[in-house]
Amino acid sequence: MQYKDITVLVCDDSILMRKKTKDMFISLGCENFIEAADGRAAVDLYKQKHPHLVLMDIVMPVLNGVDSATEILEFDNDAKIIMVSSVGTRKYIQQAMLAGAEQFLQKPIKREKAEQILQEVLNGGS
Amino acid sequence: MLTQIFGDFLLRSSMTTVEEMKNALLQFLRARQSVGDIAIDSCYMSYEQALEIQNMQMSVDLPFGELAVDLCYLTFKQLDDILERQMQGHILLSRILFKDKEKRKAVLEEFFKEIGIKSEKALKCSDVIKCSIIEEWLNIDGISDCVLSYILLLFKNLTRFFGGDFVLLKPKTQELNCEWHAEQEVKGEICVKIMFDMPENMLKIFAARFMNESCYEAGEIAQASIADFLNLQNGMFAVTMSNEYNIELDVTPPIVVLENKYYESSTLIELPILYNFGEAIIRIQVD
Repeated sequence: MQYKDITVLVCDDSILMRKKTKDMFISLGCENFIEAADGRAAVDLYKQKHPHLVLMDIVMPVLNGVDSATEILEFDNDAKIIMVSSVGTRKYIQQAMLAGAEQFLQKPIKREKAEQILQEVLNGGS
Repeated sequence: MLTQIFGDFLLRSSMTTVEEMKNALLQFLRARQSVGDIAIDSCYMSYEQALEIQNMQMSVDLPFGELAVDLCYLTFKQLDDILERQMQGHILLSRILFKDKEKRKAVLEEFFKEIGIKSEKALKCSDVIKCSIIEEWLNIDGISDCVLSYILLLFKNLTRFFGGDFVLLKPKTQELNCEWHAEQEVKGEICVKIMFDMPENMLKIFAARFMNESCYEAGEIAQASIADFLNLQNGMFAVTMSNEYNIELDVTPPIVVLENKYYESSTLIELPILYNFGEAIIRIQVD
């Protein structure tokens, strides 16, 4: 598998953030994306499409990122979920980790970090 | 921040007109170089390194130069050189508006007298002093230190992400006719609601500045850039409160409101900001 074969679910209520995140991963060679504007849509899309990687914002309408990650992991315990947020407080980071997210990243995602995450997907773990 | 309050001081004391100020702000924009610009021009840093630091500033409230030194992109000597070459904003604005040296000197002295600091201290004005200047300038009783910190952070972020070529105006009574606005709330021990209104003709310029790319349409992406700016501001504030004061806050999703709304101005802190291309307004509601 190569980066171009990885399907990334980008979940963020900001259309601009989704675009920026996609642009970054496209520049690294990714080609397959699914987009969700809230946590509920992310859960539904995950169940339908089984993406390799989920980049999940925390503060979102309808269903927040922490609850969304919890639901996804209940459905698929092997889901690779990275929480990405502007609100990197201890409380939010703790909630994300308790929900089962693999990592918490502060927005915007750094290119090296994105590459590292993709490499982990290819290697099949963290 | 001093530049923006200096602009307001000049307008209120009728030393300049709004039109003259708008022209001066345009010249200011062309003449003023950021620390990053000077670092690149001097070949101290690459464009990519400057961009990396700009991205870092989306989550950390630290000056560009400090981050550059931390990352070893600049030495202390190089940073000193840059700061020496970078003219302070209020001095640049005074040079643009007042050709006569004596007049300029007198105006600046009067300004510093009004805000209660000595001019030579302005360069290394601490956040505490800046907060007290804001408090004095707003002239509203009962604003907590946390809210003053919030407003100071807002000024810094406006400058960092949209540019410092604006003047903070005293609140007016008339409503701006805005077709939409972005808003977001911070909840918890400190409750703040922030609303950012601007006419659509300004939106494209704001969005382009925030995204660092051209923006041809005042559409969804442009509106999202303003909502993202609020998210960045409130996220940074929540992190500061969590790390420095052990106060945990919740942040609601930012929303774009596509309708004219009436605000009860007595419950709000209104911060109108004047650019050469128009006037926007930021409203902060504190509970």
